[in-house]
Amino acid sequence: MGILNINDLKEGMTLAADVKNKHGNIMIKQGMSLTEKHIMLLKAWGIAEADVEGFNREQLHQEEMKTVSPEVIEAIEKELSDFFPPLEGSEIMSEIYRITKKLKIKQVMES
Amino acid sequence: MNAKEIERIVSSLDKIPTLPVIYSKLGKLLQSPDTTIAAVSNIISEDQVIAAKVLKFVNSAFYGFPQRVGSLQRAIVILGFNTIKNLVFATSVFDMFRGMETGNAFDKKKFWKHCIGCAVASRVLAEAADLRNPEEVFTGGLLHDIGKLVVAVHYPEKYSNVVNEVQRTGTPMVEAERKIFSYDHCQVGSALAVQWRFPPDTALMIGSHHLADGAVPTRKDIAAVHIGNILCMALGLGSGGEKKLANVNPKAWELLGLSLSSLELIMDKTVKLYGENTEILEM
Repeated sequence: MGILNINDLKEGMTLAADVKNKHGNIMIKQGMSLTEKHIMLLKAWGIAEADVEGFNREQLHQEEMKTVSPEVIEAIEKELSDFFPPLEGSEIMSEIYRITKKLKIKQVMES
Repeated sequence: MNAKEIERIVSSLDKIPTLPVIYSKLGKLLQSPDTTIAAVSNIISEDQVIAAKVLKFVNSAFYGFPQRVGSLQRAIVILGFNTIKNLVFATSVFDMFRGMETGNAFDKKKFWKHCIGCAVASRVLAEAADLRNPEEVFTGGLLHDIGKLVVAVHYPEKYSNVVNEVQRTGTPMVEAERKIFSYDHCQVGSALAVQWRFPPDTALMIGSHHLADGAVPTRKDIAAVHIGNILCMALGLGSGGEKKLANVNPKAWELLGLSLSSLELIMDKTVKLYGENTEILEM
């Protein structure tokens, strides 16, 4: 099991824990197999993540990276690290960096 | 320089546009408890461009109404007077500065894109953190850097020096401005907000969005604009002229009370809404 961001959820993944909203109400029960509609609803409800069986963030990230050429990643990393302040010790800036990099890679892949 | 001195400087500038007539008419009208929806709708209809933009906004993904809102009257009923007033302002601020020279280093087009990016990101953050006034946070984000434009319009060459110095050395805009002008865009922006008689909340968002190191924010709306500004810069939505990205003030993030895992959704949403908003506002 592992917690995935909402954007990484795919149809057919199995929930390893109940999905709750911010008030603690259960929205989808543990053990459900996710459908396209579930994922759409989770987004509409503003739920950020879900715990699913058999996947984790790191592994997913590695797999995604395999499909992108190292030169592209390197160019994006260079551009971002020229612009970003040093990330050490800042959880929030590291997360902004990670997401920006991911979105940039996605843009390149789509274009 | 203290706030009074800056206000004096700003009030002596001669190229500051006056707010559109429709905005001040609306302001007067909304003060009266007897105002009817039809009266408000009539005022907005006087300016067809603004009326069309307001309708587009109401129908944009921000509100996500299941059915198209077709008339201004209906839009006013759904959104309420204050939101409508905010929208009217947001849709006209761009036109007010149109055609003004800003010097060769300051890119006005990228600047507006940056303002829209910040407005969208701040609003998405405000909604995620359950603030009561996401609409006002949007306006605060849209105007957070207005001081830059005001200074650039009046001193195009001198402001080009600021932009060039920032690009050469990587120092933050506020520092280069203080060095060359002895005041910065945040001070000018909040003085302008006073002159335009904006609500004090908006003036605060404009004046304090940078939250210099060690500053402890106490207002969530300021925290949202502060972080929204950094998010839109990181995402490369337009450019306000900075060479280096500033750090998010950790206290501001704490104040909003959001989880780190919500950030991806917030940034994703910002990118999506940004496209639509740019289209409407630049129309």
